[in-house]
Amino acid sequence: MEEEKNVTGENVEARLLEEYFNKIKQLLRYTKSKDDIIAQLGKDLQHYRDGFTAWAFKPFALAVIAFREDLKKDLANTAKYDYDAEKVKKNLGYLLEDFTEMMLQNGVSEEDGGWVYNGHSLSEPLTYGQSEKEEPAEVADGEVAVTDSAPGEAAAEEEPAAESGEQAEAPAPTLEELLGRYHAEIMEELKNNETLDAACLALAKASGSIDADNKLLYIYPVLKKMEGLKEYVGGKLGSVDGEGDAKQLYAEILTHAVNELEAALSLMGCDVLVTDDEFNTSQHRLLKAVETDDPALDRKIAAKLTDAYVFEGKVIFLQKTEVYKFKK
Amino acid sequence: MGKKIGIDLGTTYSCVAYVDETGRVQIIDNSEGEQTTPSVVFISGGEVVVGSTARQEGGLQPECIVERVKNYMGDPDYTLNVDGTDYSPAAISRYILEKLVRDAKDKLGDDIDGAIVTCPAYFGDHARAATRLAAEKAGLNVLQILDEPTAAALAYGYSKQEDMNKTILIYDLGGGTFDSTVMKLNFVGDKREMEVITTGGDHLLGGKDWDAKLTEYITQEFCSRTGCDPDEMACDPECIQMFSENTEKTKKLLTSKESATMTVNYDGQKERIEITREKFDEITESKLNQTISLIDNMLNAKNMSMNDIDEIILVGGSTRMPQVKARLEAEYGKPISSFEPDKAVAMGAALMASFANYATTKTSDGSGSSAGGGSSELSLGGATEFTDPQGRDFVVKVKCTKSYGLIAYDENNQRILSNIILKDTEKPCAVSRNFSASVNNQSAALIEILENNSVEESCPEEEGTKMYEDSTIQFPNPVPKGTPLEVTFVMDQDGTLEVELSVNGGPKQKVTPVRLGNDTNMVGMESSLKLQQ
Repeated sequence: MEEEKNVTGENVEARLLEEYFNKIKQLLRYTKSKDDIIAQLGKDLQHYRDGFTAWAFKPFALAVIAFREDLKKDLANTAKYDYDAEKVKKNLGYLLEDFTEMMLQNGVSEEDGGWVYNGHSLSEPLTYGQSEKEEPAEVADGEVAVTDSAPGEAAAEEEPAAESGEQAEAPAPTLEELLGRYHAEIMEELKNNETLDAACLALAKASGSIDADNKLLYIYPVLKKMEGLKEYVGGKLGSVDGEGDAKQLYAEILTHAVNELEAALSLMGCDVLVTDDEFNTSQHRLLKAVETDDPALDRKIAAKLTDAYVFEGKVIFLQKTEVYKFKK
Repeated sequence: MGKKIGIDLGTTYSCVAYVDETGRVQIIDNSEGEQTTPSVVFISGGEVVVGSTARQEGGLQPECIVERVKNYMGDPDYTLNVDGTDYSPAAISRYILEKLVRDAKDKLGDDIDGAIVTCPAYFGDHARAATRLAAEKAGLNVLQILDEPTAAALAYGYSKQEDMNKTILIYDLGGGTFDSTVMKLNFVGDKREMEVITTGGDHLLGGKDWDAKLTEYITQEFCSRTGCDPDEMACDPECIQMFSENTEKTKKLLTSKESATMTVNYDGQKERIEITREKFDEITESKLNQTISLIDNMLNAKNMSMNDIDEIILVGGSTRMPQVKARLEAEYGKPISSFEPDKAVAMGAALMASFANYATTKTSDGSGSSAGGGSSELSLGGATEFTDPQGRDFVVKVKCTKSYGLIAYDENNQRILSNIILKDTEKPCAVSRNFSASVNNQSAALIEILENNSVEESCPEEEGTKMYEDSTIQFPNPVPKGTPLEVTFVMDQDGTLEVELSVNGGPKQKVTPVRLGNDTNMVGMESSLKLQQ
């Protein structure tokens, strides 16, 4: 099944937005409100230029990474310290609280038993524009189900749109159609400076709405996986007292969580980096220098305390390390 | 034709801005994609690294890393040894500026024609001269060294359309420093005049102190629940890193939420420690009180009070904490607004650089300013006005940020510091004071100049700092004791000082004192280190 991470027509969108911006720039006379709108348009355009996923999801990726690394530390601790049922329950409770807080800080909240991302309920099928009707594909658990319906509408009852452009029952416009419409309207209205404010506001609003839809489409599979993880941990928490060795159960839960979080990050395009064994500032963050009398060990990695992560081709999280330092 | 930029050369972080073709001020990202660059330098094996990478490299070789060097800028007695070589603060700052300029050129895809570099308002002329030297050695055509609060006020004034006639207090709380400045703004139509009235602050007080208090509280809470040793935690590298990452995040959460939680994971123990905004305000109250005291002292020294202030402007990232605005409102009851906390200084410098008309900056040999300058008399830049694309004229009145006096003898024949130019005197200025010959057959006068923060006409010698070499002015003829001697200090807009002396009303003789520390500033400046990418 084809899974699209980016919106169809992303290049068109960027090109059209750039054209708007240049035209508006030339015709506008300075006022603070227009200045603010241009500033916002410029920022939006720059974000698209720099890489949509990078700016939209890097904070979320970093939050998940930090959470994962904390769980890895807990997992390592299970080999070193004692854990009774009470301690395990307490720590799992903290895990769930930390998890909820992390999601909340990144736009995901729980409402009426389901998750909501920026106003969109994750329990409802996703919709985003359409040019032709498609039969909804069978989807596996946790994967995107892209339908040709607006939210809440039934999927199977519309007729296919005619190629002449005749539309039945006002289907949602595609991104390209929307931008084209705004482009034509704005070019006409720009001739009249009195309506310029309204045009700029409309464009800003449209770009904001497109932005939110793009983010949801991209993050949906990740959030479904996270939702599954939380359900798993919550379920296991209830069985700590009854399932034999609490410490072993805790280790199993943490192992599962660490693996699931790695998979979630990978869905986002964020992967664990295999790092060098010699200190490299582009991969490693030094936490502690370990003195050694062996010059051959100078600057070699003594201990890797976390993973390093790459996102959109850049290292966004350096591996925390202990490094040998030759004592002269 | 290349671009002109404004550089906020900060104690802990630096920032670069320029004005684009539409007249809007933009911050320039560095090569790491960040808008600010840590003012950290790592020197080892003939190579220099600046910024966040320098911190990483410095972990293995702490003796090779330099931070907060701005605190010693222009100090004639201060050099530091890094990787076996002595450097002045100016020589270190040069490398920071080199990186900023290189990244700016790469991002803009254009040459840099000129730059304004900002400095704290409390910087005396020596520190400003050192800053200029560092920038010139970094290859910059230095248009001006501009006060940070003036730069922030320029950016603020640029953003305002309406007329106003008010006195504002700029409250600038950054990561590592606190500055307060009183300015008078007179905006009428297209005329925008700005005048610095007085300055104050503490260059060792900043947001990092709030972080430290938060760390202390969280650590105490964790240890009280778990029995762990707070001193051991304070020495554990993973713990230090964890607090370094999470304290700032928690502080920022408390900006928008009433409470925040930090999870501490140490020695097999895990605790979620909650802190309310109320508690955070309580544990950091003493730091906020310090800023209030500094403001009050600054106003008192100028025989002013808050009644003279119309509005308070918040600048600096740490002013985002709600407690700052709340406390200032409760303390002073004045309208408070926040303006571009992290960027205002760089923005104002960029505006001045882009729109002001600068003649070629002069050096003492009369040549134009270029890379490789370093004469003993450095022009400190003097443009004070510009016209923006909308036709608005911005005028900034520049003031002396220190008092300048010389050693004389009182009626008890004790040495005292007699101020001639007082702090906050508008530049350029020529101020005279009358003295008299102290002995019979006196044939010359020893000119010992001290810089100080006093606003009194006379003060103890210990309050002054020697910033110039002693010089001697010979009299035309020996004179009896008590002969009137008129001494005039002449300071131009650039901050260059000249001394004139007239014996018994006769012709004036002049001398230009040589700044101490010029040689110190050059220590390490000519080293041929390679700036790493």
